[in-house]
Amino acid sequence: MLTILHWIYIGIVAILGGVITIELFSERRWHHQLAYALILVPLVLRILHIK
Amino acid sequence: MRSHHARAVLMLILVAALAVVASWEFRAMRQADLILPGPGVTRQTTLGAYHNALLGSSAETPVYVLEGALPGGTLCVLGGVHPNEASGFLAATVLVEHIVVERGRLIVIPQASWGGYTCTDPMEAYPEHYTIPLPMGERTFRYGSRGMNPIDQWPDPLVYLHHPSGQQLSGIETRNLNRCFPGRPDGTYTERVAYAIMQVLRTEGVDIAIDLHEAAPEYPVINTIVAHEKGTEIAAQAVLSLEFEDLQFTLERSPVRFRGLSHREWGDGTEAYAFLMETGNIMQGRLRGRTTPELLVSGIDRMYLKAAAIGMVKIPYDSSGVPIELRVGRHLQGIAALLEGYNDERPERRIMLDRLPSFAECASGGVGAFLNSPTTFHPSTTGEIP
Repeated sequence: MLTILHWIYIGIVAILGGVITIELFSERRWHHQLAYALILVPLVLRILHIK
Repeated sequence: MRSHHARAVLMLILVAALAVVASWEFRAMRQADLILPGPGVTRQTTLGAYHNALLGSSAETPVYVLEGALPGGTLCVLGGVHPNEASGFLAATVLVEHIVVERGRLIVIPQASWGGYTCTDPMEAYPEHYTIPLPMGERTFRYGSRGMNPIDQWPDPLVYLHHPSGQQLSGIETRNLNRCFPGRPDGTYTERVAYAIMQVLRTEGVDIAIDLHEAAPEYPVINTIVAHEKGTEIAAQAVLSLEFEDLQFTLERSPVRFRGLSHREWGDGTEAYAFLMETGNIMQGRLRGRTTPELLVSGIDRMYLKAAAIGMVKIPYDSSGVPIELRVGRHLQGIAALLEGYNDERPERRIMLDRLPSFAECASGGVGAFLNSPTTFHPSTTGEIP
């Protein structure tokens, strides 16, 4: 049960990371792009099981 | 490629670079502390040998066996049940690296909560490492978390139900090894570790088991020996013997209704006389100031001087602090005193340790005097490693 919960969590983080990456590419203002990139950092760390 | 796309790619590279740096640090947290077994170690195994479910996991902590030439009883010493309580780990490491058993057997698990050494407690500003000076050089050790790493056991429940009693505690205690005894073979990560330690005590026929801890200076159960009722007389004799050495220890009886604690469950569930010892660690105190590796080693803190002046501290505290050598010395002298009491109680299964440093020797020479140096260490001086 806990393993399923864990992978659901990782899946949600991965989808969120994907959405933010798409936004990063469609955004034209550099400071908004930087904000997206900084949001991506903890998401990438969680997907890689680094915390 | 449009300019904002190129910038997005650059930022993704930045994210990847940050992740690589974080991964590097993360891997370092998983690196085991260097323990250099001394000439007394005759066998080295892991906790996985006592419970298959731990094999290959991050809970597979080393177990050292020091066998004497003469037959006798078995003493088991645990350090690092709480990896943020450094003196217990260091005292256990001194046993592994320095002493020799004359009679009977000694089993040492220096880092019982192995998983707790891979992280630190959130919101505490704890350092990841601290350094102990040696006569030549120094040794660096991990400073860990009171509980197991949540990456190994997640999520915490709102309420932790202790098995088998059903006792209710705060959810975070589900990762606290010293609330999870006797554990269960197919339970949570922490319960499996607790079960494996119970198996060590049962299968090795341990006669006396000692769990080494530290606590905040304002915590009332400090500089103390907590004894399961089976070992009350042994502990009482030890406290008197320590008093002769000018070391004040209080004697606390293991609470019968507070389940999951080592001294309670080891005493109830095995043949062993079970004890727990506490020293005072300023790093764990709620009143401490700047939290640094130096504070852990020196135990000197200005805030605690003020707290001591108004009677808020439960241990003697002055400007000399409570340095690590005194805390380790208390543990080692406490082990000697408990063994003395045990040997009087069970003379037919005596246990005799040679080269066990006294409190005075630790105080004058420092802990480093009883640890091996990586630069001069020769593995050939150790026992066989199967």
